[in-house]
Amino acid sequence: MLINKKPSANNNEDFISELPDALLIQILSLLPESSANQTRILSKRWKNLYAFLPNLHFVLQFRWPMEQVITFYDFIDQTLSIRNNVPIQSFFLDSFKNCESTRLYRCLSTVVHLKVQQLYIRLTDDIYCDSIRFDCELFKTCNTLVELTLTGGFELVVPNQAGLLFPSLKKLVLIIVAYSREAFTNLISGCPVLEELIAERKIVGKRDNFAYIFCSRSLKRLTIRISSIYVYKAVIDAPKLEYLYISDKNFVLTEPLSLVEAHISYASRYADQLVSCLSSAKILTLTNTTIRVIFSYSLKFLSI
Amino acid sequence: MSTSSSSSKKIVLKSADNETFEIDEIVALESQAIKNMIEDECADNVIPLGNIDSKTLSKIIEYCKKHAESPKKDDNADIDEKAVEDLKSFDAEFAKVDMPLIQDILMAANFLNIDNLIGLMCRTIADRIKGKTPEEIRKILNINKNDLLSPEQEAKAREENSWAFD
Repeated sequence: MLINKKPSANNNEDFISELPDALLIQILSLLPESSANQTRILSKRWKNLYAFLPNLHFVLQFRWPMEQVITFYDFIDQTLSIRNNVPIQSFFLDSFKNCESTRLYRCLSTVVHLKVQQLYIRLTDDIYCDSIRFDCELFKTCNTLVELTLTGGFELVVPNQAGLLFPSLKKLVLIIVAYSREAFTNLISGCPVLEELIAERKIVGKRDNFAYIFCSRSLKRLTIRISSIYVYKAVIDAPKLEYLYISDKNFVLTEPLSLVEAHISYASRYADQLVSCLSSAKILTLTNTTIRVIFSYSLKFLSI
Repeated sequence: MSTSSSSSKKIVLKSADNETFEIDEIVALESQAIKNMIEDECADNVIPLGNIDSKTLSKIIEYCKKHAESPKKDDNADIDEKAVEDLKSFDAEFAKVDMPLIQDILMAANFLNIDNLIGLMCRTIADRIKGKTPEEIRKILNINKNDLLSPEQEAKAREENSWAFD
């Protein structure tokens, strides 16, 4: 048996730093993320432990000059290499669009390799920079990723007839991200177990006969917050859909859906049509404005 | 070796300062490490724990006794809420000790492989340093002053994780 320390009466020793890494990391993972990251400066013993946290968090706070952006990505690479092969639960990256897309791609490849389960990336939109291409093919073999949130200056790149893209993805959140109609359709069909989709964006410019196709065998919850100036049709072919949230004045549904819960929160002039398509829902929530619009349009209709 | 038929069997643990503790085998089995030793039949009558002092060991035995007596969650899906509450308040009281003892218990629990106790001690330490400044944490945990980062290293780390320091 080891006799490696004296009774605890002697309080002047730094016993905590003698604990194995695994225990210190367990303590860190019970702290809020910012506190856990602050422990880097406690001492040399603690400096690199953050790299092994189940949730990794990187934030580029200001729009830094390019050389500092490079330093920031160096820091991420360094963290991931300290981590070696320890799997990542969640990876959070908040940056600016003036990142080098090749660096971002490389970092995502590593994160995929480290079996990430939840991925959140936010690129603050910056009109002076081109969109960063987000290549969905990178995730084809990633069986661990269950949740993906992309916000900001991305353009989704989805190959045609891509087949399987996100084998295990259950929740997808796309905010402000740009994509073509085809890319979107291919993306959804490449997620065989997707249960929840939240899509939020502006559509700028007129697209003839523009239609969103939500075709999924697995989708249960759908939230659409799309603002467009022109009317577009939505085709929802999702037999398992239970919940639908629509906040868009130009959204048109043509086929009735059988849902558990639907929520319409926009002064849509097609609201009456929407309501009739969704009337079989067990819970139907309409906001004040939606009701007012339906009412005023039906009055107009009656007076003709 | 089955646990039910041997509940009256005794195990003797010997601390670093040569104090002996005779406990029911069922209590000792809370420790995965001791359980493995018993199962592999490589435990003598007396198990020497050369790296655990008697103060720490008696705390650990107190914990294991209480937890061995309590109904296990996986034994019965609907164990009464009172037992769960009782165990919770026992844990809360148990953790009200000074930091050096918490660290000793954690180290020993890790050695003896007592999962619940490791979790309880980690939570206790986390709770005590939550929301504190690095300077305060160094004091609470008694971190070695000879191991501090150089001013340059600290400045770099602060910059790399600047979001966390705001």
